Amino acid sequence: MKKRLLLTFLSVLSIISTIRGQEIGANFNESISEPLKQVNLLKKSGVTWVRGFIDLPLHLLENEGQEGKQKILGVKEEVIKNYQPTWDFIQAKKILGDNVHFILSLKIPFERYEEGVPKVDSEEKKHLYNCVKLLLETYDLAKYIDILVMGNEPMWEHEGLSDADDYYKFLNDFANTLTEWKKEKHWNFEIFAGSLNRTAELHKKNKIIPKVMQVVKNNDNISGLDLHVHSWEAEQAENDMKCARETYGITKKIISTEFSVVNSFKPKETLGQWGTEHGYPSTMKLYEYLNQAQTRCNQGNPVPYNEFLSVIHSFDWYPQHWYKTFYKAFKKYNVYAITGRFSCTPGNLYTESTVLWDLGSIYSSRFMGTGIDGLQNPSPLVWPDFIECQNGLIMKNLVVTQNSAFFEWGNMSSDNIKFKLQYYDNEESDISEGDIQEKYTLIKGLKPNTKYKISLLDGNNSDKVIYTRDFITATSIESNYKSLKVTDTGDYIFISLNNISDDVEGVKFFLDGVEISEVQTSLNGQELSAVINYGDGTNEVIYVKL
Amino acid sequence: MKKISTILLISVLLVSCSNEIKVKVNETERNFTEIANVGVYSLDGSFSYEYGDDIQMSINNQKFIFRLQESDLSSYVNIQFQSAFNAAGETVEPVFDKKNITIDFANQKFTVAKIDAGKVWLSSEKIGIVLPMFNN
Repeated sequence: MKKRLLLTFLSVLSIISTIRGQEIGANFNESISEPLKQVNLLKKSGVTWVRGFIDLPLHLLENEGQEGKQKILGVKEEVIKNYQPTWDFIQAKKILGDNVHFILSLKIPFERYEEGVPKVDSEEKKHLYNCVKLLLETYDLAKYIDILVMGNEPMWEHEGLSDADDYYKFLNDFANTLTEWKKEKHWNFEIFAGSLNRTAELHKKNKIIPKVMQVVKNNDNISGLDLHVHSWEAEQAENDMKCARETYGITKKIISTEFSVVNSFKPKETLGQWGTEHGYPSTMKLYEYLNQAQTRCNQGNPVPYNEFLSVIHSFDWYPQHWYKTFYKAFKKYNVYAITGRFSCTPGNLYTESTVLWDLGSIYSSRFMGTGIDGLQNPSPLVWPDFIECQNGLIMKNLVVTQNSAFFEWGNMSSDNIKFKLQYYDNEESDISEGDIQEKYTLIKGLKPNTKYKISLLDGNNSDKVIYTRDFITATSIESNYKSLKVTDTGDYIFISLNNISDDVEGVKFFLDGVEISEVQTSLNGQELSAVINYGDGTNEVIYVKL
Repeated sequence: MKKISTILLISVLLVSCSNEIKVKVNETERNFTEIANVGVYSLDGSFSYEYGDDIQMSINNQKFIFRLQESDLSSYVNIQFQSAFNAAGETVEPVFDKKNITIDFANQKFTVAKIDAGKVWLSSEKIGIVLPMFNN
């Protein structure tokens, strides 16, 4: 037992000693059409992950009976095949490009069903799997997502149910089935379980949390765990990550797709002394102030940025700079990617019982209005921390194509850093290595649909790994046709060719007829083209209008 | 007399309807050869797939292949011809390959409607195609 504990401790340490990821993204919950509507703000923000969820029983499954006593009867095939939110989600991904990675969570609240979690040999389970498969196939959704999470807060959804073992079996079976589909269809998204909320606080009483942890550890087809942190204190993130890493020994990837200090807000609290000092009645309640702020904003006269910050900071229950505190914990426990609330638009007036999710967003047109570009202004509460965290990223952007990987580097701790590229599952392999001399590194000649790992090493001590990131190259498209991909990371434009085949002898890129390299800082011209020379002496030219 | 007037009125209406339809068809044809942008168009105006914002164009001059596509190839139309185009009026028999394009190319016989300024206009009963001239 002691030996096992020691091994677990060492394996946790070995993971944590190397920073891996902490990439910052945007969460849209069930509003998966929103990324398309807010695509310009997403581009401007520089986030590299987007996440949303679909409630399968609510929208895509045929159910019978009253809530809590329902039974799955079938699949809403026509709804799935014409589901506008899925289409919108994909369009957003297409516009944002290969440097922005997408996470889709499947919300399956089994508490609405009489049977609870479906047994692995049940008709209900077959309907559910048919639904998921059709969803993933429709519009090729599966090809546009990087991570699929097999649930959304199951520890609430199954609360009171005594079917934790059934949930373990279900996740196990679901992950294995998804993996079979991945092989069959050449899909390369990673499968995660979760998402578990406030694990440190709830895990001792909740039966689902240990089972989810267990299945993540035991099933090789599951790449990681999704943890939500909705708390009232900034320390919760550290406690939850520590619980997963140390108490349960999770060494796989962890993501956090929802996090906030929403429970800290007290909408009924009066403004008190702050109100008196700033021209508001001291008896005015916070939610009343917020409603007034929204009304002012709607009239084109938002409250000043510093006033908004000051009023929230005047409450001693508000954990100032919670976003930064959370991020430090995510970094410490090697969290792969995080997606917090992105934006907050005008809506219904608040009441004293409103849960103030809106105050956790990075951008807020609800209170701060829009800028001259028509995009939402930053929220004073979160945006400064978000920018500070973003500026600290080692890797700012990763663009992975079928045959190449483009790394845009951020804040390096030293100017003497080397990179090393290996196959993910072969530590002995050494595909490429070199110095990091530029703000980016481009590696070409990779194999499609293959998992690799890049490591950054201290140039003075090559045994010291300071950062790692794994990635899977894109799957070959089921077509012989070539196409041009243009990915704009904000700082760089990376041009690549899809479906390079053995008969291709050379590729050159041109901007309005002038030859250019595949990495540019801008594309000021009318037309981009790629000339592909084939071994038989013919050539193909692909044109993109700019 | 009233009966004759009614018949005359109906005849005039029918003629004018018939003329209107004819004019409409001519209008479509005239409009098609005036389209400047490279693309595939249904002549009734219900569909177009044009080189532009999201659609790329590929040309293989030696193999007489013309293709329009999205960058992820989630939709495309690939058209292979047997030779380059010579003159207006000649018929061509292209081979089509398409994905997620709703237009139906089956049983469509194409004629070169116009050649001008490095472009070719092909038309069939229902479809019009504007593409660059192949340039060996």
